Amino acid sequence: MATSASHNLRSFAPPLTAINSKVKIHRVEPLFVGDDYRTDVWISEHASEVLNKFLGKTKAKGKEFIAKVEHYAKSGFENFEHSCGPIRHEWNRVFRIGQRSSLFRLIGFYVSGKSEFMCMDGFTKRGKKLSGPQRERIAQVAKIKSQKSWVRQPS
Amino acid sequence: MSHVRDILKVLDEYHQTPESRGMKLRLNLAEIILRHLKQNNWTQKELARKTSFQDSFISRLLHSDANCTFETAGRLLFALGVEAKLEEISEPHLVSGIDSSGDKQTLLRQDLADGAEIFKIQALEGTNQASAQTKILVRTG
Repeated sequence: MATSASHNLRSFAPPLTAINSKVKIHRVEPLFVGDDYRTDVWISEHASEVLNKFLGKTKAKGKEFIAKVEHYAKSGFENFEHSCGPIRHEWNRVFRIGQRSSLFRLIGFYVSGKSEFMCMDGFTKRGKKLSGPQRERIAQVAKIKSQKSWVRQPS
Repeated sequence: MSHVRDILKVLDEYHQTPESRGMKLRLNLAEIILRHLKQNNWTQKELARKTSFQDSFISRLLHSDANCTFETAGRLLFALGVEAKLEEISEPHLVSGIDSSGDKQTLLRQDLADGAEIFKIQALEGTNQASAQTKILVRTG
């Protein structure tokens, strides 16, 4: 029998009728993780696929990019973070690691303070500004961060 | 996920090239410039103005996308109030030693330019135990 108290509760809290199994959990694998790195870098399957395609397409620029990311990880991402630098805050605590010559961006976020970085997506900018779909991809990464819908999968 | 393996393979190939050594120097310079931009609270434009370099050139340097002469690097460092030098990074090599608990270990030693040495325990001598990755920082000199 519904009481006034339970009636009030129902007004604010919808009844639990189903578990939301539609939230995708993104598995991240170590890219640059270990004692040699001041910022451990993990990467999702999607981001590693995008990065791998970029490396295959661009050869020299791609090699330079991944070498830079490794160096940023060894030195610590914070040392390369700046409004004019290769690592920049986009919005909602989502950051991009960018290459100026190719306009390629890896998109992700920090966890554990700034000791770990989770790469979740990547794309190549076409013009000066981000396109609508690219902004949406950044928003999706922000959602992954806020929902904590990722899990580490050691290799 | 084989993509990560493929990515690391590309990276390994790059490290075998002479270009990778030049890239490392460009990255070191970019790091120094970025650190001092933050410390001085300068923008990239301000550094460009103080050095009479183009803003786009400074941007390329910060992204390690541009080569520069030592003279150019010197002008940038001077404007930032920084002294810097090139140093050789020594290759790590194995030595025997005593760890902090008095046990004899085979240690992987890497000398640093300022005389400090980092030791990683490579293996326990006389045992088949897997190596532990423990760092012991020892200052010498």
